[in-house]
Amino acid sequence: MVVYSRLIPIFVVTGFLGSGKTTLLNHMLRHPSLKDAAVLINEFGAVGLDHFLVKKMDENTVLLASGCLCCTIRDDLKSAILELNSKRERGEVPRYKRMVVETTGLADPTPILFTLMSDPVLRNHYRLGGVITTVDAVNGLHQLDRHAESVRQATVADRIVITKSDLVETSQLAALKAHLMRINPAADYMIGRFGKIDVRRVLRADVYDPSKKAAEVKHWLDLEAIKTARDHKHIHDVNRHDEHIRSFVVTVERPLDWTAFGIWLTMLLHKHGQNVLRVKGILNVKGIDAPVIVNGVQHIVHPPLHLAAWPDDDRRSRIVFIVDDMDGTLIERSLAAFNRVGAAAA
Amino acid sequence: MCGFCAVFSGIPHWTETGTNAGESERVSGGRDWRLTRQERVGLINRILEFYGCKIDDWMAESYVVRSLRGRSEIVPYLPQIWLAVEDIAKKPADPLDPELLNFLRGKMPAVDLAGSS
Repeated sequence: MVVYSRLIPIFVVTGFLGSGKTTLLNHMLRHPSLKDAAVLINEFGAVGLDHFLVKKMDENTVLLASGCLCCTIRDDLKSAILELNSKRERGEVPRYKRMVVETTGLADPTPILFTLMSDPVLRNHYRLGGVITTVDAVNGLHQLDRHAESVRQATVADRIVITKSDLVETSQLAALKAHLMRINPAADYMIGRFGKIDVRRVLRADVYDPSKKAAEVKHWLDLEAIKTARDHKHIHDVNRHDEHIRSFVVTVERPLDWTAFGIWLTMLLHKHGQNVLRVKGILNVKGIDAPVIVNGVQHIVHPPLHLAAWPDDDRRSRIVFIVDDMDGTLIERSLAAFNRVGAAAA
Repeated sequence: MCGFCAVFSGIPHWTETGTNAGESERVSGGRDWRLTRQERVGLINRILEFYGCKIDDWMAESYVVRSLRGRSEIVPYLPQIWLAVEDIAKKPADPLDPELLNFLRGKMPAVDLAGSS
């Protein structure tokens, strides 16, 4: 059986064109924690990467029969990782302990996540460590308004790094952050100054790292941030790509029946996976003392795992949803109905 | 792969790995795993009554989705059950469908309906 904490974590760095991904990556790779990381990039840009193991991918995607765009296999990524893995096993490259994948600026990152989570060989050796999204303080608002890819990059992020903050007024920076928090209140926001950030904080996104998961989950459940995001006033414009994106927390008072929860979530993602942009939370599962973490992006759900202890005194199940045009009340009612049927059948 | 019948066995779906990503629960291949699977089949069948379908477990490797008229499809994992149900029942498998929620409500004992979520 695969033990996820022992797999090699992959951190995905994404962000729109010109948002400073490579600058950020250069800074990150100088950190001792990433000295032994392998790096996969889509293109050699104007800013070179000074690192011992950098490999380029040739974009090649395979759309699966379901036709869902998020369930697309990035064949290039799969081949590149498997090739590196073979070389690592044969001793032809150093035994890297982490991997960083930089996407193109126009990429929707969900196919990358789907590839990492669905390929049987990759899943036996690697796990997703976290998604880091760069957003340019100067052009970020415009890009979020006009480019669906930019919105996707923000919604799947575990860390959002606002770059070029030194080039804008404080008010513009605050407006961008408030806008982003409406799209993704569960992410950790960091302000990059001259391409520099706290790399340790970035790497804490990895919930399968036993030393980091408690702090990360506590951050997910920062309900005040979610409430602020929900209350944030914005100008309605149907042409905006993020007009219908909203976040909310579904709470369940009773302990959850794990079987019923699995049935419910797979059914929800089957029908509405393209609109369930993120789902992550902490569950009080009947018969299990430890809190159980769930974490998903669209149709992709990471394997659940336990926390050693509850992050606070609240013992209810709490699940953060980021959705595109869905009714949170209906989702809550539906989960409660399935849970009651599960409890009655047990 | 099963040595007897050559059935492919890939990495299990997240609903079948236990609740702790393989760290502490020995669910793979053990009694707990089979019991959980049995419970899952029973619970899904309560829901599938709404669609006029049922499922059977096939050697703990796949599920067989059957209509009442005898049509059947074999699927490997839980998510594919919903695709097969839609194909067979010609009805969307949507957990937010108010009619489905009413149906599930009708299956509940009165004491449960009075309770909270």
